[in-house]
Amino acid sequence: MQRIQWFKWLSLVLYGIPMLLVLVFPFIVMVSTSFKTLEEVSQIPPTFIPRNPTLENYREVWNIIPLADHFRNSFLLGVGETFLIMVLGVPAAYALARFRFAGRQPYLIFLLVTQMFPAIVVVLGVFRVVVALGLLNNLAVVATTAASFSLAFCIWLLVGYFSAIPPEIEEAAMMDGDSRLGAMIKMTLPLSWPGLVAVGVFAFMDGWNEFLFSLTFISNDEMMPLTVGLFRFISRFQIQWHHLMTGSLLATIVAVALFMTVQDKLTRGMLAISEK
Amino acid sequence: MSVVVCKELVKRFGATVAVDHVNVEIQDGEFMVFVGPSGCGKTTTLRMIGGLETVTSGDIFIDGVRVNNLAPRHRDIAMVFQNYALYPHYKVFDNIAYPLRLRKRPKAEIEERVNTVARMLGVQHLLDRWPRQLSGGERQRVALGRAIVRNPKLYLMDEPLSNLDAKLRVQMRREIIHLQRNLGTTTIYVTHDQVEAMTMGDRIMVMRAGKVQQIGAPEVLYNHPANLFVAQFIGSPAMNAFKGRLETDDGKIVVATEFGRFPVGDPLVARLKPDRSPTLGAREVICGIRPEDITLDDAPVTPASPQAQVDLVEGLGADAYVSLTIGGTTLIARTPADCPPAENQLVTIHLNPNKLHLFDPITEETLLALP
Amino acid sequence: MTATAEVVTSSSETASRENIWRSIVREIRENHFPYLLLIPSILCFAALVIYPLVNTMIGAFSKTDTVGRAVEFGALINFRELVRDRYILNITIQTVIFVFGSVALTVVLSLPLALILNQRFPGAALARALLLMPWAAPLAISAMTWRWIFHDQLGALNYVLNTLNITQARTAWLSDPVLAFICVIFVEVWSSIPFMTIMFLAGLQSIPPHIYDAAKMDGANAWHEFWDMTLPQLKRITIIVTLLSIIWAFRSFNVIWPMTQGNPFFRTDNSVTYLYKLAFRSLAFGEGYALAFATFVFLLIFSVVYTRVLRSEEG
Repeated sequence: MQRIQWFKWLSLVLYGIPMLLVLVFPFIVMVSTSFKTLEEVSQIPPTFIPRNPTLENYREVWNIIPLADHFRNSFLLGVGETFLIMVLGVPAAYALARFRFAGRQPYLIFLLVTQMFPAIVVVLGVFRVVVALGLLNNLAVVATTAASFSLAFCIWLLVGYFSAIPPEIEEAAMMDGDSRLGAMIKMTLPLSWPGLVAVGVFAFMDGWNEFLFSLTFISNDEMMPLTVGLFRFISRFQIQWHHLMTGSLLATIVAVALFMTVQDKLTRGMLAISEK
Repeated sequence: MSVVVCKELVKRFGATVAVDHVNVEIQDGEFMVFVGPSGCGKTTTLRMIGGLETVTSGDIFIDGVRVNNLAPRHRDIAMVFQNYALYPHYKVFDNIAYPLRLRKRPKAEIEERVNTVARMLGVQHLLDRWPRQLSGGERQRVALGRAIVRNPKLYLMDEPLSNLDAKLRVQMRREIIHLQRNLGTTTIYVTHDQVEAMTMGDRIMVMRAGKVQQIGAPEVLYNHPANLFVAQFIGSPAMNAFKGRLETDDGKIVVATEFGRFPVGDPLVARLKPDRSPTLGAREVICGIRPEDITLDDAPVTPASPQAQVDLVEGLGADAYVSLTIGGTTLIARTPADCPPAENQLVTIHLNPNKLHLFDPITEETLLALP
Repeated sequence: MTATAEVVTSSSETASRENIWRSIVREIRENHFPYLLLIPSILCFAALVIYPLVNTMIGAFSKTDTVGRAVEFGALINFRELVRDRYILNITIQTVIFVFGSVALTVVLSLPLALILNQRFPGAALARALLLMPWAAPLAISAMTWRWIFHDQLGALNYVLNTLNITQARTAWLSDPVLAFICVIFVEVWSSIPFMTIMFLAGLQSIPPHIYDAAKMDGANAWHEFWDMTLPQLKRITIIVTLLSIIWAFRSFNVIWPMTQGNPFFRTDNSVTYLYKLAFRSLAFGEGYALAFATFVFLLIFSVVYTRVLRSEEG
């Protein structure tokens, strides 16, 4: 017993803590850089802890980058994707979880196959249509393509959550006089609420973190989400790392904070998928 | 009038036939039990009557109306599930009130009926709790309450007691019997427990592998099983069965087994189905005898009487089960507990000639007509 | 019995005649309910997954113009173009190393981390929260941050290495082809560790604890417990999570593009970033379609073979 204790602490100190440090390193750098002045950022050798910490970047960055626009656009992508995933995914997942119908298995396999090709294939396939219809710089198009791309995975997650609700509860409701649809809305949906929230947040983050579709379908600065806006910022000017890191930090905080609220439910959902 | 009729009812799941041409008619006010080992189709039959499974072929009539394509909510049936299926996000009161709310009953009426039912079942102090705060027995009462609150035509109960511990099960069993007698509502009750079936049912339908084996009152099933399966499924310990042959000894019919010859009582001989008459010569049979119809005797052994060795004696207080070996056959006898034989002792066995059961060795159907 | 049945049949016939429309509606609502529920998602997939996929397939076998329209049937012309491409061999090798290298490293690094985090120690909850950050953060933005960390003069990595006296050089991490390739693999691994570790953790926690009690009673020591109980119990989840990771790594765009855009000299490109360049830089849509098609076919075959082999192994 004694030996196991000792081994536990050693492994934690020698492996666990260094690994965690590497994992959070970029976020430490973001924070550190965001408090530095331009001179300090361009100083050789660099510093780790800002010598003259300043909040100036947090004020300036909004003028240097159209950060407010980017925030709004990222938010719209997140909300749009959540909405689409819910509207398209919840009915499909419910059907797959509750009914054994002809075509169920093929559909599940089809969902798996949609995971097999890179998003760039979708971009290539729809780009011409998007251009032809004059839908470049349209956030709805980005949200829809991104949603269709993560829809399969979300359906898998939702199937897991719905399957965890015993069907007898719905059956009891139907015996008590409710319709099929009524039983679904009054029983299964409220009972799987935590799972729905988890998938909703997952979808929101997927939209918030979206990069490729926005990169190809959006060229207009005001319509760019954070990811692409910040990326354009580094390719366009002499890189102002202190501003970039400030914007990055703000974008990251939102995603991380949201994620932490549902991570437990989400991981369990993913585990359920992998157990199938 | 609530009569449920199943005609040639079939349910297939892919290639497997879960319910195979079931015909049964359930009378008004009757307590009907479907019993059988797991996977025998009893629950599927119940769920088809409830409308939770579609019917592959055949018909279901409730009060003379064909209900095959009627949604559960239009059938006016209440169901109690094995795992209670209480609505976890509703409090007890709302659980019981739910069927009434769906029927848009006025608020005062709902309040009154829920309270009446809760008092009837002794759960009035729980109305403000969540289902997860209740014990198994309390959950079961609430589930019953939800079923009876709206006076349906028919109750369906799917193994409602199997999640309870042994003592509570016996108590709830009695409560359900009382409840059903008082309400007088037709009830179909599914269980795999033959004791529940025997104690609760007005009539019992025994099923195996999707097929109906026998339908009848408990004492009919016990005393006149239609086939070997029913004979061994009903009753505990199970009926003893061994191979034998019907022969004639001095004009008397006897069953000859590898461990002795036993007379067959005249009432049984009279009931032998005519086409199976042993006068045509010796006939192979499977012979059955219930443990309580074997008597043991440690009196001095005559060479003619068959002798068995006692392997094990299990005392149960009132009586004892005695495992015996005789030839290659193992028999279980039930004797009064006050004078059980000792283990390894040799005993003489007597089979009650009027309580023998005779089955065809191939079809396993009974050879005896009902008296 | 017979009398009842007759009464019953006639009354049900009248009932069904009256309600014929209602019964049809009910039939659709009750029996076709699952199909109705699937319609929205099927429409979405048809428009945004199947249609582009078919488009890509047609494009792969056609001559295309500068906006990617299929002009006429071109048989294997695009594939010939692809094979002749002077970078394609490098890209293929890089993609394979990128995918399998990063997934293998992720597995090797994640398992011990999961074992450590599965222990009880003060701050375990904080450690798990920190672990998840790379997964939660927008990957494109994290990749840009790594680009800043790898900066030769001003970057944090050289600063840390110099301060710890490991080297005094100011290594130009992203300018050297080999180093830059290692860097993108490193960041890919960095971004995949949280998911893999958390899956291992969840897997560890779903192992029924009584099997350890039984093993102890049977005389197993800690080492046996790990090899004979823990590892076999994690096998299933490892197989599936690895497959998912391989598929995801094949699709990876958000690490390489923000970090290097494939530079220097296409030496950090994978098939996805190269595809992007073919289509949107060189306007060589036909070749792009061909590469996309080849990638898809490869992944499909790989997944089928992978699951077949591993399933047959499981028996």
